Amino acid sequence: MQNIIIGQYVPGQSFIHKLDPRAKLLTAFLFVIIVFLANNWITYVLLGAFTLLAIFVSKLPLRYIYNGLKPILLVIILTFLLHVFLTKEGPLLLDLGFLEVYEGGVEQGIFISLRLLFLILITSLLTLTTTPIDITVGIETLLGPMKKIGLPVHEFALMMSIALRFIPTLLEETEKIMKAQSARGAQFSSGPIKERLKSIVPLLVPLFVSAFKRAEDLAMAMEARGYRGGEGRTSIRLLKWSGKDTTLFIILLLLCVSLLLLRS
Amino acid sequence: MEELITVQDVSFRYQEDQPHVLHGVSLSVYKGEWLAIVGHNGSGKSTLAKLLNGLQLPEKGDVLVEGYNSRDEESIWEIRRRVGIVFQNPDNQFVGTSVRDDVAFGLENSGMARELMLERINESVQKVRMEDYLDQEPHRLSGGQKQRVAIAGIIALRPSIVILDEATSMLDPAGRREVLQTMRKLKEEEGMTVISITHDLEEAAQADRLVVMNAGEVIDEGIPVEVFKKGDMLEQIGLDLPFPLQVQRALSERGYDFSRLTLSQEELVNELWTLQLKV
Ligand SMILES: Nc1ncnc2c1ncn2[C@@H]1O[C@H](COP(=O)(O)OP(=O)(O)OP(=O)(O)O)[C@@H](O)[C@H]1O
Ligand SMILES: [Mg+2]
Repeated sequence: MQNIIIGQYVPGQSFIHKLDPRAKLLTAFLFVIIVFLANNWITYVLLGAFTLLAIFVSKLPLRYIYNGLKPILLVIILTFLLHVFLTKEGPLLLDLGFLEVYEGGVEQGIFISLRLLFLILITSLLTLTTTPIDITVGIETLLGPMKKIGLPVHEFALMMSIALRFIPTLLEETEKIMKAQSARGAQFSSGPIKERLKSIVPLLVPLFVSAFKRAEDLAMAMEARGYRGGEGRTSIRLLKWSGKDTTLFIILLLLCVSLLLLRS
Repeated sequence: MEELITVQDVSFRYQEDQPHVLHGVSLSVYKGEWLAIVGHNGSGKSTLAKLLNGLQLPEKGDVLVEGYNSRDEESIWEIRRRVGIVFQNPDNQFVGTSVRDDVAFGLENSGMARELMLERINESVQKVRMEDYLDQEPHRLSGGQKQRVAIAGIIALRPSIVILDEATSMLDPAGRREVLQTMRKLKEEEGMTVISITHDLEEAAQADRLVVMNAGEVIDEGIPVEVFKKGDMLEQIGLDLPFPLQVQRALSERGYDFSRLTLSQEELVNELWTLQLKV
């Protein structure tokens, strides 16, 4: 249950952990773009080196990284196979009669799956080394200027942080209601699917009722403490841009330039 | 005594088509006192609390807090800064994802500079003895601890009045003691004015002054000893008398005479053994 409020965050003291969340968010965002610059072996090797270096520097146990990857692994393999079987370029490598494999297909398959892999690795590195609340604050500050064009940035960030704060509370409550309903004979974990679905209803109804009550109470408590929207509001959370963050950007810039020079 | 809050002949209802919840309520709150408000469920206590800090506005009459009338739009923020409310449910008033964030919430709303905020936060968490939990998440705190954080979040704004709206009713006895002790200390040491809305007459008996509400009206007001003399009236409106008082009343019915009202166990014990001496 704790896993949910901290997201996938794995506490640590590494270079990456200590980076400003804004720097990490921007890097992840830029990385998503520059990944598409790679189009030959040397550029993919370069991206791979950057990704591996990032993982190494984060000092995260590989198990966490693998766990983050697991659900997407199938997609990567499927992408690879699709390309291998459907791209008909270059010399023929294998002919099984009903199925022909070309060199171009294998190459494309490898490239596209590597691209996916790098994207997943870098973005999960972001969530593994940054708490959800820091990510929220980072997004809020990065999007700050968008308030001028009427984007509800503050409201969005507040909504996120309240959601993060209440997830454990609601989970605890779900557990409690489940126990109460089980005590009355409801079955949540056995029986036919139809029965189990039916038993969800007496779980959801009280949960929703209480969530609305909580929302009402919370709104009142917030108003009582002088909340009146984002305008003129200060923040206790301070983001500090340091030398580390600038270093990261220089590395990213170098990577970008090398990709541009080396791509074919 | 300096009058902090004046409620003048206030009537209120939530909706036009609904009956009035408060009928012509008048009330004064004085600086530095501990005022208990008691009354049956639905007698309008929470509604009154909401009127006292401008969460609701009177339909008739006025609410004045240190001279600010809650009807003036500009005054509302001054009033909310001066009157803090600790609500009943510890979970539903915890806004932040950590103790520090939660205590900061009100300060952030007031637009305070970060440096000053940090100072205020440290100061107020120390007053409620939660300084070791600054980074703790709410679901790892007990109910009593959460209520103490709520108090810290309010006193960080340096209000003149703290209202406890059944703030201890969802807590276990230990949590209840924790919260009440914290408030008593704040009252003694900081001269805070406390309005405690409660069902617990034993707690109310400890107050400096007592207001009894029934069906949206203030039906009695005075020091606890005086109010508790009208035990029958309190029972009639559905309140449970403090246990020591119940014992005393039961004994009086059986012909024992007491020299004074016993509101605490200690007083009762003292009365009982002196009673035996006389006999
Ligand atoms: N938001 C609301 N909308 C409409 N009616 C309300 C609302 N809140 C309370 N009431 C009604 O106003 C009356 C007084 O409620 P209030 O909550 O002030 O009582 P209370 O004395 O605090 O009771 P309790 O001891 O149960 O907390 C009740 O009849 C209640 O149904
Ligand atoms: Mg109430």
